[in-house]
Amino acid sequence: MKKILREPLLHFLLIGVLLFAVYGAVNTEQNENEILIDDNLISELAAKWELKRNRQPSLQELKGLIEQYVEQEVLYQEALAMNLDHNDEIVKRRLAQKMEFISDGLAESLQPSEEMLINYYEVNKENYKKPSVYTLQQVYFSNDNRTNALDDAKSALITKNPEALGDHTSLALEYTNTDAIKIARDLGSIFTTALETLPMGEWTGPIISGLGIHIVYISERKPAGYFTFNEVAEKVNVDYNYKASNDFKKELITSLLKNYAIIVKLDDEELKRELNEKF
Amino acid sequence: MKSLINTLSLVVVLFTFVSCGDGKKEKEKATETTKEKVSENEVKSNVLNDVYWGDTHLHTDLSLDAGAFGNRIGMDEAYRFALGQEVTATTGIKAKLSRPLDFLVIADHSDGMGLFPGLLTGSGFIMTTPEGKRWKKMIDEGNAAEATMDIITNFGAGTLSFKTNDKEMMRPVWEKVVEAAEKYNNPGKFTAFIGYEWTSFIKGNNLHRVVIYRDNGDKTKGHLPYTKEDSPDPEYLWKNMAMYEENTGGQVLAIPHNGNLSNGLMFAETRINGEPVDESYAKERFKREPLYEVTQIKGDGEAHPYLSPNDEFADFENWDRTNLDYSQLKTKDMLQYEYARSALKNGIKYQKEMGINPFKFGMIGSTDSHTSLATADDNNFFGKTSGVEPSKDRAHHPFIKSKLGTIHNYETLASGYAAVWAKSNTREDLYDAMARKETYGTTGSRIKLRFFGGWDFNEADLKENHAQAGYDKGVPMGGDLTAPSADVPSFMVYAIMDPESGSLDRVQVVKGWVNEDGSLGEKVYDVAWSGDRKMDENGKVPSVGNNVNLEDATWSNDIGAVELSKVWKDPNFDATQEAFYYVRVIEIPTPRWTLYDKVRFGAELGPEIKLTTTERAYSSPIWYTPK
Repeated sequence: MKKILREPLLHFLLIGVLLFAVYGAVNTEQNENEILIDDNLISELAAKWELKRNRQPSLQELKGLIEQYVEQEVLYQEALAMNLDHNDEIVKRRLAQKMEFISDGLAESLQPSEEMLINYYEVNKENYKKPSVYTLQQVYFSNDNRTNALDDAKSALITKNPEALGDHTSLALEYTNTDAIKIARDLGSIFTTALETLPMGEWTGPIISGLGIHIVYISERKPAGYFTFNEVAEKVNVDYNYKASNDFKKELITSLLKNYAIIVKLDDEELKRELNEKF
Repeated sequence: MKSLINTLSLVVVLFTFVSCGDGKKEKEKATETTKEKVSENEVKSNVLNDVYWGDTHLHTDLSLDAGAFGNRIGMDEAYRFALGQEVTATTGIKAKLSRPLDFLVIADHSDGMGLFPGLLTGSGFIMTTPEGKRWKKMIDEGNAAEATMDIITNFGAGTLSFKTNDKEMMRPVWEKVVEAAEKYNNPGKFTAFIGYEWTSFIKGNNLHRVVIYRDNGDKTKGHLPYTKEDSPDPEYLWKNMAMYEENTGGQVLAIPHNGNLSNGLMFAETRINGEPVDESYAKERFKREPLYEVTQIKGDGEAHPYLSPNDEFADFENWDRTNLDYSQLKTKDMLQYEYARSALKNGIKYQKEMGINPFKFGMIGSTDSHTSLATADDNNFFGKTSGVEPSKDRAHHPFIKSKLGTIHNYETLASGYAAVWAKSNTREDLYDAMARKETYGTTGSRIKLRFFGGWDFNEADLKENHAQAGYDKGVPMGGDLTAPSADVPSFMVYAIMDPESGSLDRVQVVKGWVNEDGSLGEKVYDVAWSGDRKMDENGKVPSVGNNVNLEDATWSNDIGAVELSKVWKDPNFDATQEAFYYVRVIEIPTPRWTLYDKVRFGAELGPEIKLTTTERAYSSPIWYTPK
C-alpha cells in the first residue's frame, strides 16, 4: 500500500479530481446568464480565423465573429437550461465517444513495466516463435506432365535414386540453412508445415503442396524455438499496448457499470435471460 | 456530484491498472532495454531478389469517406491484419488473411485527414462547420451512405465551406500516421511504409495518387501531406514532392490509380492548366510517377475491349460508364486516355516525338479498400467499404449513385496486390525496386512471375538458374533493352501458379509500338499455355474451359498448368520502332466473390452478376528505344 501511495500517477489523478471538484464549486457561483467577452476570447477567435484563411480578420469581420459567438453561447445556454441535451441521441453518442477518447488517452499514458512485458511475453510466447531452419533436397512431380504424379512419387520413394525420377522445374530443388519463411515463400505453407514432422536422413513424403507432389530429404532441421524477450522487446511492447488499451476500455465500462442497475423489462424471455446474465 | 462519483470510479479503474506495475522507474528501465535490444532478425539480402507481396493503398477510419461509410477500425487493426493476425472488422465479423502480407501502405486521404474521428468525438475543427453538423446528423440517423455521397460530391465540386488542409487539424493526425508506421515497421520481416493519398478530382474526374516515402519518421513527420485543397493539379503535387526531397534529402514517389474513372484526364494530352503535354511535364511525370495501380476494387484498368478489339481477354471487370461520382457519362474518345495499355502506347509516341516518355510506368495492383482490411482474395473479400463487409445482400447495395445511373456493389472486384522483386523486405529495398519498376500487379492471386528481356536468351537458360541468367544476360521487368546485339530481342518469362488459387491458363506477351507514320500498334501473343491445345491460324490458343462448380464454389486445377515458361523472340521486331513488351498471365476460371456469397449466405444473384473470374498478373513493361 505504501508503494501505491508513492505512485506519481495517483497523485496526478488525485490532483485532477480535486481540480474538478473546485472547478465545479466555482462554476456554480458564476452567474449562469453571463457571457464573457474578453481579450482572451478575441485573440482565440482571431487565431482560429487566421488558421483557416491565413490572414488576420478585419475589425468588421471580428465583430461578426463576436456576434456569432454570442449567438452560439446564448443558444447553447438556453438549450442546456431547457434540458435539450438530455436524452438527445446525438448528444448522448457524442459524449460517450468523448469519454472513450479520454479513456484512449489515459490508456496510452500507462506505460507497462518491464516485468509486465516479460510476463506478457511468457504467456503469449507462441507469437514470438522463430522459423525452423532447414537443409534439404526435394524431388518434384508435376501434375502438368504426369497422369498420376502422386503414385509416381510414391514409387520413387522406394527406389534407390529418386533424384533422377523427378521433373524439371523452376522451383528450388535444394535449400541450405534456409528458414521456413523463405521456403514457404517459394513452395507454400502446406509444404513447410509438412516439413515440421517428417523424418530426417531419408527420402520421405510425398507432400501435396498445391503446386504438385514433392518428396524430400531433410539433412538438417534446426528446431524453431523462440526469440528471446530482448530480441522482440519492441514487438512485445506494441502487442502489449494494443491489448492493454482494448482491455482498459472494457474494464472502464465494467467498472462504471457497477454504479448502475441495469433493469431489463422485456417480453422475450430468452433475450431477457441473456441480458440479465450479461449485466 | 454525480460526475464526481463517475470521475472517482475512473480513478479506481486506473488505479487497479497501475498498481499491477511498478510505476515510472520501471517504465524508464523498459525503454532502455528496448533501445539496447538485440535485433530480432538480421536482414538477409538476396541478390537475385525475392518477390514480396503487399497493398500500397489501404484506407482506415482516418479517411473521411471511410469513416462516413462506417469504418470504425484504425491503423493498429490494419497493420495487425496485414501481418496475418485476426482482427474484428467494423461489422463485428472476425477477419484474418490466409497468408500475411509483406508490406503495407496506409494511404488515407490527406484532405480532411482525421476529420472523421473529429466528427465522431464531436470535437475539433469539423464540428464548427455546417457540413460537419449535417453529416454528423445523417450518420447518427443511420444514413452513412448518403452522408458519404454528400461528402464526396461536395468535395469533388469544391463546394465545401471550409478548407480540408487545415494545418491545425492535420498535424496531430499525420504524426499519428507516422508513429503507427514506425511502430509496425520491422526490417526484414514486415515493411510499414509512410504514405498518404492525394485526392484530386476535377469535376468528378478521378486524378488520385498514392504518395509513398522511402524514409523514416525523422524526415517525414515534419512534412505535412499535400492536399487537393492545396491544388488539384498533379504538377503542384510533384513540386511539393521535389521540395520534400530537397529539404530532407529523402525520396518519395507517387502512384496514380483509377484512370477508368477520370473521364479521359488520367493520361490526357492536355495538362490541367490547358497547355499541351511538353518536355518539362513529361520529365517530371516520368520522375515522380514510376508506377501505375493497374487493378483495384474499382475496376481493372489494363486494357479495354473498345481499344483492343482483337484481345479476347481485354473485357475484364472494366468500369467504363462514368467518372468517379457519376456526374458525367463516359464517351468512347475518353478511353484511350484512361487505360494502361493505351497510355503506354501514347507514351512511346511522346518518346519518339520529344525524346522523353511521360507514361513510362511499371505496374502494381492494390485494393483501395476503405475497411482497414487489405483483402483481395475472392474467398475472403471484405469489400470496398465497411457497409459491404460479408453479408447476404451486399451485392445489391448501390456503390455510386446519381441521377445518371448506379454502379452496384456487385461490380466491385476482389483485387489486387502489389508484387515487388527486392533484395530484402525493408523500406529502402522495396522502395528502390518500386522506383526501378521491378514490380507487377495481380488481381489478388499470388502468381509468381519473372520476366527478362535481352538479346541472347535461349531455352537452356530456362533449364538452369533462370534468374541468374536473366540478370546476367538481360534486364528485368521495368527495364530498358540495351542496344541491339542480335537481329531480334529475346524475352524469358517464368510464371508459377499461386498454390491457393487457380492453375495457369496461359502466359501472353503484350507488345505496343509506334509506326513510322506515328500511328500506334499493339498485339497480344500467346507464348505459353497449359495442356496440348493447338494455336489456331490467327495465332490464338483456344479457351481453356471452365470447370467451376456453381453449386459449391469449387473448381479443379486439372485444366491449367502449375508452371509456364518460355523464351520468346519477337517475330515482328523492327529496330527503328519504339516498342514496349509486358506479360499478362491468365489463370483458369475460379469462383468470383459473388459466388462465395451465394453459396455461403444464399445471396440471390441475377444473371447480370458474374459468378466466376479469371485472376491475372500484369508485369511492368520492358521498353525498347532505337538509338
